[in-house]
Amino acid sequence: MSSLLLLLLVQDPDLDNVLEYQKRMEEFCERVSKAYVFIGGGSGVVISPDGWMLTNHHVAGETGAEWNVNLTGGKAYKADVIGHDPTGDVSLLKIRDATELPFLELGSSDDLEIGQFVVAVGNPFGLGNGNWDPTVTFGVISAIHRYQDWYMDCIHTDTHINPGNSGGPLITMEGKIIGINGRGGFMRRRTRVSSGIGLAISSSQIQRYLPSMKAGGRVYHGIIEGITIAEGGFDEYENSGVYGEGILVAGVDTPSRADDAGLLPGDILHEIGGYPCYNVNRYHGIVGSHPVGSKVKVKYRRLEDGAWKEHEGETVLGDPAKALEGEHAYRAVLYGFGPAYEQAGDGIRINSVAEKGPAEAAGMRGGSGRARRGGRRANRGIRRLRQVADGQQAQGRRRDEAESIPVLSPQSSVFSPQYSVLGPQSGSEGSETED
Amino acid sequence: MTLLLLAALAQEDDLEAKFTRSLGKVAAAVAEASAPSVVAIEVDRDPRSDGDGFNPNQGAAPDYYRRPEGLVSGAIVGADGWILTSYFNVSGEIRGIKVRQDSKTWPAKLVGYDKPKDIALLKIEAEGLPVLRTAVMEEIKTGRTVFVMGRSPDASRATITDGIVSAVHRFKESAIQVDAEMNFGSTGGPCLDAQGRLVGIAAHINPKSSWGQSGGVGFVTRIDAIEGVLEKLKKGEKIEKAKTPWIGILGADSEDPEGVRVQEVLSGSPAEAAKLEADDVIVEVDGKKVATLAELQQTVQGRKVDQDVTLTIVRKGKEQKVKVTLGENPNE
Repeated sequence: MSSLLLLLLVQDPDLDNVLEYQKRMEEFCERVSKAYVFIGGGSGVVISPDGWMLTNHHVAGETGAEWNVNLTGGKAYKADVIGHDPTGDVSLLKIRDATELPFLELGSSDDLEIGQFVVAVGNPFGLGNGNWDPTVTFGVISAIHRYQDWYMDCIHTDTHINPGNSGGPLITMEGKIIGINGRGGFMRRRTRVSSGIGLAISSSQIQRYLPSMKAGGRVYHGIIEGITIAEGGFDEYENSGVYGEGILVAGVDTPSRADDAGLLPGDILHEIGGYPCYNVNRYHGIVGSHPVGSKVKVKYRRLEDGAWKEHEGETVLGDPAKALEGEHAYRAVLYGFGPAYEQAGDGIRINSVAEKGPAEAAGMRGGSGRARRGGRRANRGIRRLRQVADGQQAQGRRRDEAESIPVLSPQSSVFSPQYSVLGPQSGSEGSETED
Repeated sequence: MTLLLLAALAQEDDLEAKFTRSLGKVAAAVAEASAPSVVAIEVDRDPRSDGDGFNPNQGAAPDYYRRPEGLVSGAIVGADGWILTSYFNVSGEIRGIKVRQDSKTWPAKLVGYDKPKDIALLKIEAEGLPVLRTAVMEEIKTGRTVFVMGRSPDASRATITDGIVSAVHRFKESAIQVDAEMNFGSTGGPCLDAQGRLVGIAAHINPKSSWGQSGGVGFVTRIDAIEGVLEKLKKGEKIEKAKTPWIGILGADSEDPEGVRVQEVLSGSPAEAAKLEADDVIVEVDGKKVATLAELQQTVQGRKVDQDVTLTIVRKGKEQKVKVTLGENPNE
């Protein structure tokens, strides 16, 4: 009986398919593992034979840092951080005295299809330390263009990503790097284990910063200066038939970069830099995954004589730091929170605050806490921002605590520049208490 | 030429599509053929002694710090009633063990175990049980399709999860790592290849920290490593501690010559007995090149205590051979 089953198994064409693919998979795993790098508590990947290497900023840190790294199999090298992107969580390193290293090329993450096979190579839980045998996990692309806090244009995969996978590559079956794994959805409190939600910084985003990072130092993420956007709240917009296809331009400063693009309040912005822009998160995802100084095309619709007409324009992305000056100053409230906030009830939840921004200066910190609607706590947040604006010393706050400020919808008072005097970051020193 | 290339590409993609279509059918075939060799194990344990990794006085601890109740899994490896499972499954103060499959229940005896490999051997009084064939372990590579089977929470229904081999050098070469989902209940069950052959036993679940539930990181004690101790276990041996072979040096990677430069020879070590010296560079073990410290460690871990190895060393620019009898690492 068992021999009959055996025979059936051997003659199975399905089995032949699996075995044939398995052979390809084994060769593939061997090839891609060779470009893998063990670095600190995380992972990295070699992207050129002369030793350029990518990892997460939260693994390798800032320009100038020096690392001992090991390739698969254990060969040891020294490597230096040449460029870093703290916002995008990427660091670029150069492996010293490297020639003819095994490497993988960056592919285009924009061309990925949902359901497509991918593998991740990493060092979860430090299992490869000492034996220098990295972990390969296999799964599919779950989604692209995800916006998760500072991961503005990231890839979502069900390939298991665990602590230690950080900085390692997510690779297509063609052997192209399409993301740098940096985050995961972990199951429960205190159990930091993959739940089948892995997030990787997209290769398309990384490629836009790579030339600047190679030149050395820190890179910055852009914004469109002078624009106020909203997802809903205006009846004309919600009933326009284009709701959900674009976002509402709720306000445009003149003169400003948004004005340069020809945008007017009431327009529906639906494409930026060639990417469809279908909601506020995606807006921040597209804009925030481009460097300061990038020239981007914008496409928008305008209601003219009762019909929506197509328009397009161009703008150069500005620097969030410079947005603190001049007549755009009040928007620093927004920029100070970075793009990483979301609407929650009558307030917004601040997932993170921009480095050295006014919100940080006010002692506010992003976190995973629950959004708080309006109320005393929110008012305190606003008060602190005003204190900073007025050059007063801000009160200290605990780290990792979510803050919210009320109402950022079109009806809100933020449309009139009530925070007009956000001045220098006088509160930034000593504004923080660690406890 | 372009056409040829396109044709080749189409063929490639075709294989992926074929794999996607076929994987489920192969899993079904493996599940059907192997389920009779997968058993459920019911362990009656003194609750005050929850076994390794658990604090018995954790009444108030969150439930994910406690051993879950319910059945665990095992694999039949001897037609006359030999069953392998994870040692973890039968650790603690055991009052009784039952092996169950469908409507059948057998009382079982814990005969032997190998704690470092996380393997235990049970015996039930039965004959003519269906035994799994074993895989060719020399062929095991990262990327291989694998399945993990279990029989929990229901003894009458086998479960199967699929994945690939994630890494092959784990737990001192005694285990491989797989990304097939593996939870408390499937621990002790068989890991099988696409042909339904036994690759090993799902083991090394981590009860202390976060790996107790599957995060796509699971370990399988290799069947060849188990076969090496199986006869001993059948005779009732209880292996508490691994004998780890060592040479007894502190070393570092050397570029020129490529190998491992001895930094210090530890006193009382086999290296001292063989008169190795600091600054010697070990370049080969038994004629096989070792380029890094990791490679040397791997090679030595693959040998046994009291085994002789011949090292090729470079001392003051001159190559020579040194015989070393591996000792037991006192630090492990």
